Amino acid sequence: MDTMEQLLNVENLKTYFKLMDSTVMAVDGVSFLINRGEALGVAGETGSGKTVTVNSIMRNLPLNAYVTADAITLEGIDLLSLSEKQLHSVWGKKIAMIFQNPTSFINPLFTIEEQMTDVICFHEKVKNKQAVKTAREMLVLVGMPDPDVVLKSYPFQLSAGMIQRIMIALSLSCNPSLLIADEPTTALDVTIQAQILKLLGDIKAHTGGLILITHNLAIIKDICDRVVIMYAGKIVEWGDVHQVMYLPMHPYTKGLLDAIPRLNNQDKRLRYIPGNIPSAIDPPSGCRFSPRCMVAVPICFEQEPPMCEKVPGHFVACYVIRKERGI
Amino acid sequence: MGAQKSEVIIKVDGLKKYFEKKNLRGKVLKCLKAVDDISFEIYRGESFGIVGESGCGKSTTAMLLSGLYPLTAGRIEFKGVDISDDRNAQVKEHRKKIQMVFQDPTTSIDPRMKIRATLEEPFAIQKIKDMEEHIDELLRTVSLDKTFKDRYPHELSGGQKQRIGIARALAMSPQVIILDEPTSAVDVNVQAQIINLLEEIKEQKDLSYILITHDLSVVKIVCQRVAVMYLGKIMEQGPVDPIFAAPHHPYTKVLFSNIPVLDDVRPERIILQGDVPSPSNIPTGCRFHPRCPNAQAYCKTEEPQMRSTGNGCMAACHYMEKGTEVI
Repeated sequence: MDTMEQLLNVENLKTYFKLMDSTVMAVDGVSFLINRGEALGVAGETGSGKTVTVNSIMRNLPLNAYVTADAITLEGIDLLSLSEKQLHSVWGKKIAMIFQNPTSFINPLFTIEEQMTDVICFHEKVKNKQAVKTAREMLVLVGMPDPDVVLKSYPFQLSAGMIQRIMIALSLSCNPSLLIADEPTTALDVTIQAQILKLLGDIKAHTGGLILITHNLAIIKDICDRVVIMYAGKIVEWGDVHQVMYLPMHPYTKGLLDAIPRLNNQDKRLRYIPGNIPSAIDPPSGCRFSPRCMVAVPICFEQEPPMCEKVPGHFVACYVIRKERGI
Repeated sequence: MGAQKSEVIIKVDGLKKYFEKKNLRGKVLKCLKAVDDISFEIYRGESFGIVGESGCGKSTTAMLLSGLYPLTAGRIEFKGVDISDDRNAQVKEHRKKIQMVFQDPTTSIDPRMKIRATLEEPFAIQKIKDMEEHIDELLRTVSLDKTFKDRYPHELSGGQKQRIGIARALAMSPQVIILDEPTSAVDVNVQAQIINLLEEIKEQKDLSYILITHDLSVVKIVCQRVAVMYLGKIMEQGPVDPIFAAPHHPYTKVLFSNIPVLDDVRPERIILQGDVPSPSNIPTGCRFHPRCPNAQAYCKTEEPQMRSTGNGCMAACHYMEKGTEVI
């Protein structure tokens, strides 16, 4: 790990949303780092703060959001200290993002060519002709059939799978250091999902790093090198993908893995974690998962468990595990 | 189930739905064959899965079964009575017994109506008294508290909203419920909760389900029999266990190989090229041939017929008929 170059470092990130009479603690003390060439998966239920975490890194948040962190650095640049204007040169150029619902993030009134060259001209300071050429190359890279026809098309003429490919081509067109994919395949069919996932796996080589957000751990296992499991704005477990998937330690990770329907499942019932994710306005004291945890002991309700390294490269924040392993 | 299993509750024969674009003189300019001659039977107490990519006609089939679209041709029988003819006065009585749960609970529940009003509506339409008791009973069935009656949909989580959707479908004590992608808008943990709830309700109320989804792992857990659709036609159908163990049709194989799974036991992934062709311009011969990994010359000209493949399964593929090893 020492030899690897550090790409993104996030330390103690906190994102609070101020409301009229309360504060939503959407992300509350999250730290992780990505090395160059690595893919990081972020998993958790709806409302666990996955999307807010990446949007905080992008600084793409509404005005009532307050982001504090000890550090958010991308290739040595402190993202927190950038001005609004400087951010514009980071978005698309340094960090690019692929969204969940591609059709609502593309402008229906312009052709694909206009939208792609717009971005390329802005960041690369090239002439339109050169930008069209780059755009076409990018479409070829993402495996688009008939790139010339696609360039002249409007979004409504294309299928959702094709638009998601265009979004990926667009995000890659300025060689970003970091690519963030926020549930890139949720809106797509299994066969198209397989195409997009294969594409994301292939382009890992073209980008510095990849963050993949999803609630389907099976997708993370296919693509990512490391995984972060989030719950109620905190990281509960992180480490090497295979370690976390095969030897999950935190009860929440185990619950999430159990909830996935498996093809070799003989039982007609699925196991699931009872209850809902707690409110981020008034989170439970102690371990945030304790009210839903099957194995919670008294200390879980009182003190917050610290993150500890159980196996080298596999971290978990749980008192029960600590006791079991005698740490 | 045993003896009951032979009772056919829904019989679909030669069902067709064409959407035609006509000019002012009534000449057909364009014909979109959404559902093109499909036949299947659903037994009492069984869950029947319909799977396929978007645009394959699975949602249109659901609409036809629930009577939301008129048929182009074919016959739908409910307990031996033809319910495809609207003019029959009895049809309305029978239609009540087939209800539907929609894909996205956020858009299928009126945001300006309290849950009470949403659940009251079916009773009001059918002029049934003692609504309050019925509503309490419905909420109990879907494991929600009585207090939910006075809430608005925006106060509910995605899983709770889908429970309301299920409660509304149960209001008229139906015998068949059509579930159109009931879990595609929620995360894995909520999906597990909803699937278990649906199983419980099915056992309690002796229901039959038609589950429309593109998630094959859900079909494996929930359904007893499954039909795989492609471009408006059924490619393969039969009991879930033999089909999942040994699919015969190449399209089914592709679908199965594309499911993201956690277990290491999985067939080698087959990536299909391109998207589903448009249903207004269906390829000749076997409709799957342009994307089929082992298409032959005769696949382009002759349309394959449904043939038995053993274990109660049927598939429509030339390649398989000629006795050659597929893929």
